[in-house]
Amino acid sequence: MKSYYGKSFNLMEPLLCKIVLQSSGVSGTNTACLCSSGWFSDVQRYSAVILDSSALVHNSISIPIFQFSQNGTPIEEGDVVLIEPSGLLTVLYKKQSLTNSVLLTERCNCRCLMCPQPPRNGSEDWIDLSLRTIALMDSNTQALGITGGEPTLVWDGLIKVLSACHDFIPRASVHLLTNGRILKDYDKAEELAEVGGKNLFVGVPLYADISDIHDTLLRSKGAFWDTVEGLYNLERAGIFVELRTVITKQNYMRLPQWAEYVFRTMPFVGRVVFMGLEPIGLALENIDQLWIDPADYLPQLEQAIKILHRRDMPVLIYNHQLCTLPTYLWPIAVKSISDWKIVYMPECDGCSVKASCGGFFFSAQLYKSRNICPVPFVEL
Amino acid sequence: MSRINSTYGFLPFRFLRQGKETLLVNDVGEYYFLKNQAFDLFVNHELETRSVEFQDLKAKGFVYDGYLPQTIDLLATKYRTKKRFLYDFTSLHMFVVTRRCNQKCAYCHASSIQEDAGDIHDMNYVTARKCVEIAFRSPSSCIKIEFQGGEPLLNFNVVKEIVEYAEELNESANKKLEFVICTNLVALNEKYLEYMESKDIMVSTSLDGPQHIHDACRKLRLGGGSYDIVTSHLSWAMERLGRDKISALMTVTLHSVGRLPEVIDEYIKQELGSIFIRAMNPFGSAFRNWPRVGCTLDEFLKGYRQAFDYIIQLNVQGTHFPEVFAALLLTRILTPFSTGFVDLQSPTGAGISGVIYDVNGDVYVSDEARMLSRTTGDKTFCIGNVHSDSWNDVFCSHQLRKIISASCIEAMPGCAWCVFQPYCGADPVRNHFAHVTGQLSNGHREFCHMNRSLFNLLFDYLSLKNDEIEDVFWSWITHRTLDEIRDYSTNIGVA
Repeated sequence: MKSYYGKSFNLMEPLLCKIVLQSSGVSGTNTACLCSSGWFSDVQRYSAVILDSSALVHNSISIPIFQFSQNGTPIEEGDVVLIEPSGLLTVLYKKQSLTNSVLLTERCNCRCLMCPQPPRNGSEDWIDLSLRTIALMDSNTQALGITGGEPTLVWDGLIKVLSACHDFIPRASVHLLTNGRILKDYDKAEELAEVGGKNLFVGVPLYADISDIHDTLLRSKGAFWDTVEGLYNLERAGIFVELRTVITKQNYMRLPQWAEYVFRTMPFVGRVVFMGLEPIGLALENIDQLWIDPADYLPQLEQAIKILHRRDMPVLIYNHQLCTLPTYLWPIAVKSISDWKIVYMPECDGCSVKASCGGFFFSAQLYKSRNICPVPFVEL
Repeated sequence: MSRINSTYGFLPFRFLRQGKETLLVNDVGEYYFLKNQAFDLFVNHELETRSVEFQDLKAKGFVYDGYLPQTIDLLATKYRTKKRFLYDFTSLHMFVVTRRCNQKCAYCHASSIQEDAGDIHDMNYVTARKCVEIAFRSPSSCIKIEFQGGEPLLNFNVVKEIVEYAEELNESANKKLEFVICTNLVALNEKYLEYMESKDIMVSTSLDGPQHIHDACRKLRLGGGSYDIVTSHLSWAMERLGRDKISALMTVTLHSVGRLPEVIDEYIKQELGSIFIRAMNPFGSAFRNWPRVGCTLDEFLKGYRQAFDYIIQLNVQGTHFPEVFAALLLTRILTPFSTGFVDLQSPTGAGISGVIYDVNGDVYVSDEARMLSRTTGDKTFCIGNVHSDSWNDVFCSHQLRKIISASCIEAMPGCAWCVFQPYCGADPVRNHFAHVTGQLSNGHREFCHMNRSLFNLLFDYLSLKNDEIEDVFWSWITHRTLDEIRDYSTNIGVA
């Protein structure tokens, strides 16, 4: 989620609203009119007004106003934003994006060494905000992620959020990210299936084929078997499962065995994903235990992918720059980094495949492969 | 076994020392090669638990060092998956629509009789309908009806009756319904082809190889070999029905055993997509003619190995051409999936996976069971008759239960501790035949020797850990071309 600093006027408490244009004729509660510059009339029809830095704010207007401190307005019609009295605007939903998500809680039942978003136990949950955000989303939304923390910890809230998705964004494929531990209770998996319907996809991380490595990475004894049981319950409930692993110094040696394990033990998995490390949050704190140059784990990654592809298992690579992968793997290397987190390096100037490359996390400046280089023109 | 001072415990597995390595296989079909030295450490509880070998064995469920209940639950799930074929119950229903045949093959195990022998050797409409009714009582969600003989084209009206009555019953039963006709193709005509095309009937035919091999055993009743007419009708049928609707199998005899690569070349020339290399079945004419056309098991195995090497070579060079039996065994070895195969599963598929209805409505547990009765009069494996018995009488009989419970290799001396047991199966009919005739007193030994040799051959290949060969194996198992196996843009995750 991207936030912008600016100035808020006439605002006593945080206000959630959907961006509308004056020209569209849409107005009402929870709408914020985006006035690019100059004069604006009849603004009482909206809950708030959003201005760029050049506009003059009139004292005569009594409704909430947010003014960007920069030129232009980096938001568009249909986006959902939260405006706070402190002068902060947070974009919670971008209509044009396929990587929108709602964060239900920052609490977690693991403390993964490589967690990019450190859990904050005891912090408040975000169910209400998520529900209100979903209600404002475009009804044609194609995809929505549900993340945390660990979203299954706020079970009742999660169920409400899933049914809100069903009501407000019925066409969206809903991608729930969970460590699956809570789902070792079969009734929970079944409830998810009932509420989520056929639009629900569940992404679950399993970092190794043996409990020792997985539990070490999660810093939580017993996590491996909880998750394995959760995965079986998801299968029994008929839910599509995307199985993920993040490649680190702790687990890269066993990637081929992991691939074989996945096929032998959970061939029902709908998609297997190999992810590069996002060096932020706890991952950055523990970077010495985690970081390994993709150039150094490439042999294991290639072998693991070969194993899965031979077995006709769907497999994708996330968070890897094309120049770190041999060209034959490019077809399965996906642009996976959320729009607002992507950056490119100076080396990327002049790269012939930059447009199809997923780029870097903005946090990746210090930890990037020694193989990063502009790719000269290649015939694919 | 003492577990004093041990940090780990074993889960059930079997093993076989092979040269410098030991092959370990567990109940769910996971396998692992361990250097003999490491194996000795392992079984003495001295293998370093941080070693790659230990971790591999742990991931595959050979050993545990904690979380025993979870580990056993996982193995149980995998075991259930492997034995999934048992849930389906009888899905293969074979109909002997006639005992008459227009060929007189030297190794015929079905004891067919001459073409003009009269319709008492045909299945009649009433019997045919009774058989279809019984077949549809099966709880299986998939019903595969296979027409056998004799030569089923010689009683095509009854074939049509069965197809149409099955379709009629399926309107309310809603099962997946498939038809296969096992024919030598000699009597094929335009009318039959048209019908087969309209009903989406698949063809399984026999081709023993190039003319000099095929004609050595496969003779027309009218005289002469059948090669010319069979191959011309084969291409006609392929053109009309599509290549993928037609498969062929061959029977290895004295004439072909040393020249199987020629047979394979002939299959490729005829555009057949695969081959099933079968040993002769010692029933019927084959039993009588064995000295003239049969080969010893060792000759067969030598021939098979030569053929298999040749097939691998062809596949590596880009011709997708599986040996069907090897592909089945490889699926058992390399995947977690269930592969029922009536002739090689435990418990046996006899009756509970496949069943055959003779022309008079007698129900046998397998084709061999019918042949046993025709050859020796022994009706041990006849489990009823559609005219006098209900579905329950036939399939819930004490007799069938006895056959099935006696065919679990997990509990058979010899099989119980065999390293290949999780991939193997039982053939009670053949065992019984060997036992009662006394002529093949080593029936089980032969059956066992044959399967062990094939498993050894496949594990020899697997132990090479050769990329090209593994690509070929997976192309067979997943029914994809070698190009697809190597091209990641074809990965189903990309779509």
